[in-house]
Amino acid sequence: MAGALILIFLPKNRESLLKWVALIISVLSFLLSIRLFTLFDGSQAGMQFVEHSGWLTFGDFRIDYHLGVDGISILLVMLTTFLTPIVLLSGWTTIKERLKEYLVFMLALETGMLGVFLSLDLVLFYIFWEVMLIPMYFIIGIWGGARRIYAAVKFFIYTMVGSVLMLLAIIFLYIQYKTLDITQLGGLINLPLDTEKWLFAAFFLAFAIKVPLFPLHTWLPDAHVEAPTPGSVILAGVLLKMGTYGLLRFCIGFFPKSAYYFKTPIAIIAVIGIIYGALVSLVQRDMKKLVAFSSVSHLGFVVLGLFAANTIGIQGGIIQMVNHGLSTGALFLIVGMLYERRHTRMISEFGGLSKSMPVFATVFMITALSSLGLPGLNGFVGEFNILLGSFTSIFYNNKVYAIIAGTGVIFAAAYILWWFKRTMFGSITKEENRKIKDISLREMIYIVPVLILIIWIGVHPMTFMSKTEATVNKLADKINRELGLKEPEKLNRLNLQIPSGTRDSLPGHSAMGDEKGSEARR
Amino acid sequence: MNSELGIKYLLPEISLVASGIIALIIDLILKGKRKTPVALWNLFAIVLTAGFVITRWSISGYCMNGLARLNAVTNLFDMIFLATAFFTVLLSISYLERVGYSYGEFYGLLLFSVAGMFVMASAADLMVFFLGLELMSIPLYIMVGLFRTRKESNEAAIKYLLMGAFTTAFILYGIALVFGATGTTRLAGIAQALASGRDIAQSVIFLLAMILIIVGFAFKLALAPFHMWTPDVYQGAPTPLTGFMSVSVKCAAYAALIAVLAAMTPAAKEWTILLQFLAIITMTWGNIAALRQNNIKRMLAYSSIAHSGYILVGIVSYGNAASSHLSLSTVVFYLVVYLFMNIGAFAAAMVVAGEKDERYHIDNYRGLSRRKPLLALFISVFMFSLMGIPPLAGFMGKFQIFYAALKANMVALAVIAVLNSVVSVYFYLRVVLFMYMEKGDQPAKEIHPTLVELAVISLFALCIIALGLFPSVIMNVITNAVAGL
Repeated sequence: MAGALILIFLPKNRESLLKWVALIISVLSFLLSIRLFTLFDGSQAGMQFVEHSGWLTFGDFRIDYHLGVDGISILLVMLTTFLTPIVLLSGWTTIKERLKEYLVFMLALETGMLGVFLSLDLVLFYIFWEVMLIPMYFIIGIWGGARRIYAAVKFFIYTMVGSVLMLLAIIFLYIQYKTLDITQLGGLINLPLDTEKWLFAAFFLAFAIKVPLFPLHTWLPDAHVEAPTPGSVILAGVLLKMGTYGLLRFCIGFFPKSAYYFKTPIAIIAVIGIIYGALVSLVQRDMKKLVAFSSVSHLGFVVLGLFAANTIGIQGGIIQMVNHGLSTGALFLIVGMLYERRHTRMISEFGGLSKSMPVFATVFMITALSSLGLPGLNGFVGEFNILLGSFTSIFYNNKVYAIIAGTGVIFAAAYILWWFKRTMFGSITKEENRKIKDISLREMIYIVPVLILIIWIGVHPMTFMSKTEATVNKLADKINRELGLKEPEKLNRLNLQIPSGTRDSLPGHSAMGDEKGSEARR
Repeated sequence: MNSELGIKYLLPEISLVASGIIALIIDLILKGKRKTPVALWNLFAIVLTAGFVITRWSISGYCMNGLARLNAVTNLFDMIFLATAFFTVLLSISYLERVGYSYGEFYGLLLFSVAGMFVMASAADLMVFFLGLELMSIPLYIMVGLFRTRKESNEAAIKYLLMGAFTTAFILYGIALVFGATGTTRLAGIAQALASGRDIAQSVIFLLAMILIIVGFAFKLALAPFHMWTPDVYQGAPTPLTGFMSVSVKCAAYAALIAVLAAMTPAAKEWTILLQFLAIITMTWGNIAALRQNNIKRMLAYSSIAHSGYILVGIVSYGNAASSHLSLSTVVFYLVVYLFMNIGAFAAAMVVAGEKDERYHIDNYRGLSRRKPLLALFISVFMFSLMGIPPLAGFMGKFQIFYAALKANMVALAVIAVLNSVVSVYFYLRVVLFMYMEKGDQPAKEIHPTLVELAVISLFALCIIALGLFPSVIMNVITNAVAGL
């Protein structure tokens, strides 16, 4: 993404020019990624569109510029390029100070995130992983709220702690296998469990902090609350997915034996995250905090699905990553819109807004329902698959996790709907809220695509899931093979059929979803 | 290898000393206040010497009856010294005039000191090494006390002198004991004597000698717990000189340390333990102490202690036969990277310090990005590189160090090293934070970087980025030199 470089050389005072150039660049990269998506062959399990050239030989090291997409990364790449222009639009008027730096950082951030998802070389992956810290640090620290400095430093240091140990694990793998190629390493790694456990732990810590899993999540609310709206959206929408992506690609893909070894604590942590995040959301007075804690809960689901380590659980996890990116991203956009109008994020400051801003209320409604997993919208597809996956998982071999996690959905409904009720319904208590402006055209432009995708995934998830299926099947097979887990033949077939099963059962749901949508619109 | 080389291969050393004397004479002739001609002469002498070093690049062998050893690696070290000296002179010109201490002897002394480093790096005999050490240090004692009317400068000079005297005593006593144990002061002879029988390497007298010599080095390298002088001396010395000391003095001491350790290979197990211990304390102490510093020079002093620890991690793996070449090239590469980061950081600190050379407090960095965006950007590059964030050179350096440590199977050491670099994030980030995220209160007009200063700083920042993206450019030169040993 040479776009960021172009921006640096543009004059500082031509603000609108800068904004348009940045927007055009990001839209361009989105269009390119659509082309990538349509050309991507979902029936192949391996890497596609591989770009490989030697970058440097450094001492003993050969670090390659090696990029490619497979079923795991394609959706995340799409998500990244999709959200970036939206985010740029959302900060169109609110970011006035040091606009040029902001845009440069945003595009640099996009580059870093895409690099993380695309890298097929471990060191290259690590470099992108770390590089993206710098722009995010500045975005939170310069354009953030009152405690922005604290949040930015906390964010930076938390992430560093995890990632440096991962670096050591990467070097260790290189010493063992003399390659940094991610596609090859997956098949090569065959270490005694004692060693593997430590490597797994090093990778896991890095990703668990990023996700963030339950005891390591404390940086997230701070970072979210203090970051400006575009920062929050990118953070929730894409950055956190780097953690879950890493868990899937490396922790599960590289070290299935250790993943199996650690499955119980991880599942417990994930379930605690689901329930804890939901309960804490319930009592938040600050809307951004509410959404931040709901992220903790949603990502608990993702991790639970991924570590179910069967096709359906992993696919559910991947689709849920995208869902979370869309719905939580949209929720942050909505909070941002309210904040732009009233300069407060306290729930108590609002009430009865559906009267003064009906269109906004509809948008909010759809997003909220998607976030709580209403059938027919995207959240349902992900959560249903995850629960089904972990319920049938041979890996866990324990149905309790899925059952407890299922209650998390109820809590989600509770906190989201309660929040919605308190802000949108009831009588208008504050005089300012009576004259509040409804959603503007610019806001519509960036929120509507998100809503379209929310409904699209809800109604017809196969467009997206078919792209991931082959890769995930291969991964699940590999895990079962390596662990010697005999997955009963019929169950395996059942797993394969379930995505299509969801498809068959969906028209009914979608009708329901549409009904709700139109109801809300009325 | 053992061919005796003629005196013409010592031209670089000769030219350095001669130019130093000429610099002093020029200074005497010049009546006026402006000492720029002396500095220009210095720059010329350094370039000339570099030319001489290049002519002897492919030569490998012993000189002066086996007292000095020349090969590609010692030449590489020589180039590092010259580069450091060159930029120090460049930065000193405007700095010394600004603070009103434009003394010509500064430049002459600098050349003598560099000559001492040359001798240290290529010493093949402990006595020669000792001579080099003194030749390097004595001019430095004088230069540290250059600001003779400033209290802190005097304090720094006395502290440095006293600590230097201790170092001397430790090292001399160690050398005497080595002579007692092995009957020679030649490094090659020591290696032979140690290899001939295990009992010498294990004898109490030799171990004591080794410990004394390593402690002496630890003083010079500012390794904890022998680092106490560093912050005060670095703070009191003229800023360009601080940059010079933090890089080239360490570099010379590391060059000599590597040669001494190589001679003591049969006792590798013992010194590995000792150095490992020192490395862990140094990194941890340096980084934790740096957390509390508000003076930028003191912060950089502690950071240089910590970096000394990282380099030591690279040296520790030198004792492992399988990774000794790797570790040597790692250390040299790190020193090159360190040169750019540290001199760059000190140069930037010098510029921010302003007309009166007093704005070293971190508060003076508040809102710098608004007043001097370019300067703030460069400082950020230095800070992120010192942290070891990719894709900057500092990351590549640390990456190699960790690699060398893991390759030598020192997992615990590597883990402590990486965790230390997380601690360091806090205080480097603090500078960036003050520059970008705090509101400034000082007017911008106090900072006037001259063209030369700005050019040096931007050159260094660019080098850091370039070395981060294409480290192989320098790394290949280094590995070739090391492979030729």
